[in-house]
Amino acid sequence: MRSIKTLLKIGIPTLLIVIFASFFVHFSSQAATIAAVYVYMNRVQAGLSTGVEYTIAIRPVTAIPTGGSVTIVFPDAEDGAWCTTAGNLTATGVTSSTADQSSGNFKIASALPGTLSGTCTKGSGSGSADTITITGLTALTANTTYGVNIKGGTGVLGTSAGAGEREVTVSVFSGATMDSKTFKIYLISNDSVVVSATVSEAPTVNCTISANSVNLGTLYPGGAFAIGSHTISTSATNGYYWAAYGQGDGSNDAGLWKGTSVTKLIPSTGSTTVDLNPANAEGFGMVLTQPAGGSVVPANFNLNPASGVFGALDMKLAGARMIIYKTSGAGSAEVSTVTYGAKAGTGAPAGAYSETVTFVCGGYY
Amino acid sequence: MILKTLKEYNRILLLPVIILCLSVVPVFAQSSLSIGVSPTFKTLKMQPGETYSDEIVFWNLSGESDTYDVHIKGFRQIENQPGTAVILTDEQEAEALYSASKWITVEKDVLTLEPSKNTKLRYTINVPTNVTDGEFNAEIFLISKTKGELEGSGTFANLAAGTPFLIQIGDEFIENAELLRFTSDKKTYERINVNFLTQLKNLGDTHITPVGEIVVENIFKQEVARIPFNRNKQSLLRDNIGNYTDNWSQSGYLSPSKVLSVGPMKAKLLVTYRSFQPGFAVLSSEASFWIIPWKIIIAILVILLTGIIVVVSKKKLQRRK
Amino acid sequence: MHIKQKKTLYKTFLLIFTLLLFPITVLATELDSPNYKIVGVTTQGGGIIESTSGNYSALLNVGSISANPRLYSTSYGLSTSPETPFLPAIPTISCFETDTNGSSACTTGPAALTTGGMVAICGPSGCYNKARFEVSDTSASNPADTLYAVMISTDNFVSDIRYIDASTFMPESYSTHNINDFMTKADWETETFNIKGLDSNTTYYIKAFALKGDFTQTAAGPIKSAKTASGSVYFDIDIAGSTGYTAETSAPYTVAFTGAYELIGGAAAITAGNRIWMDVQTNSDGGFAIVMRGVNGGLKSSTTTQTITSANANLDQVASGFGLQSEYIDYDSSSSLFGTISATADYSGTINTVGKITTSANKVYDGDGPIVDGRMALKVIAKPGITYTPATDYQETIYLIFVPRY
Repeated sequence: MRSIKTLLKIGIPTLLIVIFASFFVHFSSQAATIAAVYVYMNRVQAGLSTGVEYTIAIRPVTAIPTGGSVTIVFPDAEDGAWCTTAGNLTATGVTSSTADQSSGNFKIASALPGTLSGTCTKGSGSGSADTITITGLTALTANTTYGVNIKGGTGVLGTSAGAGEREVTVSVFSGATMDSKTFKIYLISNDSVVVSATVSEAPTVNCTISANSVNLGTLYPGGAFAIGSHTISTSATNGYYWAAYGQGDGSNDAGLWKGTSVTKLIPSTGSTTVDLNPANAEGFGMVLTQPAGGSVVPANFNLNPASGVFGALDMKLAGARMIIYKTSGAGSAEVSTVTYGAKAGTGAPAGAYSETVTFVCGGYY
Repeated sequence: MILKTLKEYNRILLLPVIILCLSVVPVFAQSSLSIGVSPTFKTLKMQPGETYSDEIVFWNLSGESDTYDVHIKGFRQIENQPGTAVILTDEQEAEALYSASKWITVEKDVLTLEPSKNTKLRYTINVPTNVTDGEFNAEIFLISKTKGELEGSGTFANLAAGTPFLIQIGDEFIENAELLRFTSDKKTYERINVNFLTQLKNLGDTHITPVGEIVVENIFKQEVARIPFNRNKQSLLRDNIGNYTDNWSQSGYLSPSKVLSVGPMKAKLLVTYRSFQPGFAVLSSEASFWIIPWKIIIAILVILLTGIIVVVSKKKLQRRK
Repeated sequence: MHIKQKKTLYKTFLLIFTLLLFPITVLATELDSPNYKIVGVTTQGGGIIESTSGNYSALLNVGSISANPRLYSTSYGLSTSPETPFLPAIPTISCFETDTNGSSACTTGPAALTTGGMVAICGPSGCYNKARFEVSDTSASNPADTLYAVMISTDNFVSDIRYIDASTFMPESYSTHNINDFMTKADWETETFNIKGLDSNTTYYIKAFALKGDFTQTAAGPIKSAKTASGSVYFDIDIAGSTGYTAETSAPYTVAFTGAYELIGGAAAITAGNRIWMDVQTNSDGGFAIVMRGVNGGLKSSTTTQTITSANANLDQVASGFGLQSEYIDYDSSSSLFGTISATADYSGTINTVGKITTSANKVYDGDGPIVDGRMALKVIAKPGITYTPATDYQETIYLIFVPRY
């Protein structure tokens, strides 16, 4: 009896107050459009049954409380094509993505926070679509772009058949707080380009001279010999050789030639070497260093220029001499230093002397 | 006074003037030269009256353009080195019996190679109808004409490269060769680093690629080494002499099969060169040389001698006692 | 009075108050009709007034009739209040557009809009997340400093009732709507897209109010509706030569370094005869990215097991290499509101400078806004060094990924 009285005294007024207040208390749910989002897939080919991965960038406009989720909902009519096998996925927050803009809303600023778990569920009929769900989010700040990478696990991700647009909806929500956006991606029939190449069987040789003219310095009549250098470099698929011949005066011998009156040839005398050491000696010759890699410089050219003995050159095509060779095997940028030596005799007239050495380069047949 | 001073300075000034006349003013421009070629050679089988077209690829990996004159002439080996080629002089070309230079035409006489670009030179070979069977040769050969600058004394460098062609006409060829010489480069060696020098002459009407081996035996007729002859398969032009060098090196005086490699050695060369039934044309020759590790021998002798002296001395001392 | 008695009295008073107030609030609304409302209702002693016929009775006396706008019907208004002469004219919406194409009713927006419609400034299919409205000039009886507010709904104001925030131009709850959401016509229309943050493929309804001075807000004008566009994207690959600006080819897509483009060991770099062409269209605000990756990271031969490795490089200065170089970019730039396409730095080289093809992804092209008629081409350049063994099966597979950003 007493309890009924208490109920009447307290309960009824309370009820009425609540009813009265309910006219003024308005319950509202918050839903907004995601400010920026993209779905970056590792393949955009239609009809794949496995191996698809996603990187999602998402920028909510609303602060999302902790305990939230991210979902990607695929077209309703394509059940089982995007989530080919339902199951767990690997979801990992990422702080950047190759598809980012250089700055702005479409540049990931933070990894999607939380202990992330991903699942893929298949749709079943109308109103139920394949869905990727990521749970375990902690609080998201409004207007921050978050990134997450999703890979298959026990769940397998694919793409639906047929090239063209697909509408997907990405949502991020926690409780009644939700931002979402529906937009389109595009699948094509084939997202790969195959580049094929044939490397020719034809043998090749590449020859380089570092300088097409070399100064010999000052030639003192009856003085010490002078030297000047450049390099030659060779690359070849299967052996190479160099030969050289001079021009000289065009009729007698190779060597340094002064063509103006009084003419004078400082010859490259002999068939093997020219010794420029003796007091009255004059002549012109050349030596080479032997590069590593199995190439050979013939003995008469494989000399130290400081010795004053140089290999002798002959004249014109008929006088071509082998100066370096590698009979087999590939060679890559094998370098030899060519040093010319010259000495003028005491009777050498003053003037400019020059020689043109032609270097012949080739590969073996 | 002033004139006297000037006269004295004259002598001082004259010498430098002479020197300067023979010296170079170091103001000149250099540039590099670069040429690449593919293929490095071409072998063709053709018939009289037949035509063949193709292209050679040249390239320039330097930073400057280079210009080359295009020459087509027969070629020869360089210093009897098989597998090498340099075009004939005009005089040699006039006398060359097997030059195919007149069969070949190219689209350009001057070729400019741009930096880091491949340039293709198209050529056509028209075999005359009245040509005899046999092998003919020619080379498409580029010689640079890009000149450097030089003031004073110095050397210019030209660069030349090309593609030699070996054109076999007909189906049957005479392959014949003569072994002119087989020897070692020295008679005695302290260490085993022997170069075998072989000289062959091609008497046939086509190029040959001789192959074979050199077998080295010791005084006990035990096989010490077996070295391939012309392992790099360098070819020998018809009517040419080719010098082949093959090397035998060994770090110790025991072969890998534990055979002694000291003392008088004999090397036997066996060469075949025919493409058809090569066993019916074997060239052979022998060469002898010595391997004398004289430093080791002297050391052994010194030790022995020392030992003998010590022993003898001891005995003498014992006898005295 | 005893304390217990006082408590009882308080409870009784509370009960009576509740009982009386509840009917008042219920009965008060019953005094509203859709067209008018009786205000200033009071009670008098006796409380009941009966009609002479006895057919009806009123608990309460009726006060004065208010000249509040609630005296307006949907078609006319009864102006009885003294502030009535100062009210501005009720505004109408002259244009509310999202996906018009080829023409527009909007007159104060960008020139491209006037001649081409919203498609001309939003890209293919039109705007998917924004719109433009203009207040009619026939509200011209309103002076230029007249302020307007806009109400928006997705269900024609049945339950979804929001306002456009005049600073963000986005829908906001009516609970945050305030005087700051009123702007002049000129201020509203200076912003090209003066309604933002919309959902795609959704019909929106808007109506406007005018205000000129305190207590002068007009009723809402006629409702105007428009539907936002869906997203619109397109991507296509073609293989064609250097002049293949309009070429269209089908899969499979292959580029070959064979025949005249055969690679030569040690020779200069070779550019394949065919290019990789791409078409792109999107109306996404964030434009797009084209991302590329390779399977091998270079041209790999299963026969030789060698790979001509790809890296960012000037192939004229290295012994070997392989990569891509952007050769061609074109897009519709008729509107300043369309985006532009650019190749990323590594792929913007010249002569034989290439960008890498690696097993990890690299961005090749970036579009920074809506793109119409985008067309791009990539050159493929390779240079094998002297050490690469001849073979016919050097190969790389390149994946091209189109990422629209919404």
